[in-house]
Amino acid sequence: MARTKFQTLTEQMFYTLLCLKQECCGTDILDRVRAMTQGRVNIGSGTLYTLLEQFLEENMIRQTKVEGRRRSYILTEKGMEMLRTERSRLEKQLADYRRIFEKEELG
Amino acid sequence: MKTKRRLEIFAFWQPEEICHHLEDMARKGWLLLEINHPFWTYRQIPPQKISFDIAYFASASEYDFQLSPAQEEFRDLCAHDGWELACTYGQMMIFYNTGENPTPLETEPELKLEAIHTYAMKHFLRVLGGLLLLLLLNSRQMIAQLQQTPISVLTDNQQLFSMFCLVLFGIAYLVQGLLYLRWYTQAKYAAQAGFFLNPGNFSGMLRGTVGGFLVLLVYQILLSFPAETALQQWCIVGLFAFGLFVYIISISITQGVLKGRNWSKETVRTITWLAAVVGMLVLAWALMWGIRQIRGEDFGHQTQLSNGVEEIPLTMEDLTDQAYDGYTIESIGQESVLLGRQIVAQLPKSDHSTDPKLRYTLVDVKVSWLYDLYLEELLHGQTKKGVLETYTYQPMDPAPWGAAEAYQGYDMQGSIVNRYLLCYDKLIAEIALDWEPTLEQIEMIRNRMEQMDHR
Repeated sequence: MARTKFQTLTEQMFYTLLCLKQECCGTDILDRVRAMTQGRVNIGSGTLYTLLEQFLEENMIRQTKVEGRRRSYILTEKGMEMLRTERSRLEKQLADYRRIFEKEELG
Repeated sequence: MKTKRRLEIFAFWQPEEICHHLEDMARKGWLLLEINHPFWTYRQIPPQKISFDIAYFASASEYDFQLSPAQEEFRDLCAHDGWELACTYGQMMIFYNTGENPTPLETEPELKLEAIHTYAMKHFLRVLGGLLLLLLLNSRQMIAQLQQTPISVLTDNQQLFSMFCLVLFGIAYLVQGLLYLRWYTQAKYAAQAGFFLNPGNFSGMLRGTVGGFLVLLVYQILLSFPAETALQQWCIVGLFAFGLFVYIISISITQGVLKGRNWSKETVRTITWLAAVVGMLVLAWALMWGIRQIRGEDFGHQTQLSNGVEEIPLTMEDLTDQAYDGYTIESIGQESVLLGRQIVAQLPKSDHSTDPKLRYTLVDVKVSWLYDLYLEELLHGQTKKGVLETYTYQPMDPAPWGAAEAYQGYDMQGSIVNRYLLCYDKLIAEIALDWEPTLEQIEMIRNRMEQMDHR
């Protein structure tokens, strides 16, 4: 079954939204994600462009300013909610992992 | 700047294959400069390892040669990662990167797949749908024609060839469409699992289809424009090849010229289509003129070359031992791999003459399982064609004719007419006389028909 759009976030979606906690443009996001993940996550320019368009369409981010050909964005409340949901999902995953392995270690 | 042009045939929704080709070209010292389909222009560079990647920009049009503000923004974003725009063609934006292991433009398999699918839907699947619709409509017409007049259809090499091509290309495109959809379904699952599944060799299939089309085109030219000598024949084929090449180059050059203008998408589209239509008309005229020059014909004079048997198997002289100087003999022969047909008429030159007339049609059946189909047309052809019936056939004794089956013609009042349908082993003969044949004449007809049957 196809992934329902933005029901869960891929790593690249997650970090893109995370970067937009602060206002920034596309090129900033590319740099910040790399820096934030020490190069573990690389977002392709094409992917980022599409993601930004889709996030805008879903009102998860909003455009803040346009300087020449450079557009800046920031996270909206809906985008923030998406991030919280994703964090909660990841935390549950982590909790489940810990419960299983800690049990084994204790046993 | 040294440049070179190459004819490239790729399925444009196969970015990996195009990129591999462009990387090979760069290693040989050629960097893509522009695409004026189907010619790609390269500029010379020092041979080097360059990475290529393709982005599909859904809102772009092949008639809009200027980058839109959104495309410019996208280009800037890509430049940040070292991707330089090589050229655009329609929705395709082809980038290159001289860095080591650059981050690809698309890193989300699902987004990459959807971009390709959107492009393929627009450019490939719509064309495929249109072709299949055309095939269905034509099939209906072809089947109706085959049912009504199988002899005319199956002796006409051009019609037979058109049917063959239509079916062949219909199948080729249908197979490609099905393979594409199979790949897309599998790729969707793969993308959900986090990796991108490369399509199969669709460009190879496309090249095969184009190659097949060219071979069939040559065959069609040979059939449609027969010449007296082999040299003339190949000159005609060469003329077509040259004409087609010039036409493609002209369209490509038109695209190139239009790129230099800052005109609207609508203007560019109108000019492109106009150039294509006018070019086609000029090409058609030039080809006809060229063919006449090669064949040595004058303008306005048409030579009818029949590819059938020129020999006249039965004449009035054979039947009556008299000379018929004031008569004309017309013989039209047509032959295909399935069937040969010869229509002969020996008639007095004066239309109002009451002199005897001889008309007959010989059908040489080369594929035995089609025999009944042809016989059916000759027996009930008038009814099937929906024309006013002037005669019907009733079985008669075939022995005097030496045939396996024989039919006598009757007019609509039920009186016998001197029209006979004779069925031999491989030959069906329909003979119309305007006198009652004597036993000797029947014997003569029998001999000639048997000779034709055993030929």
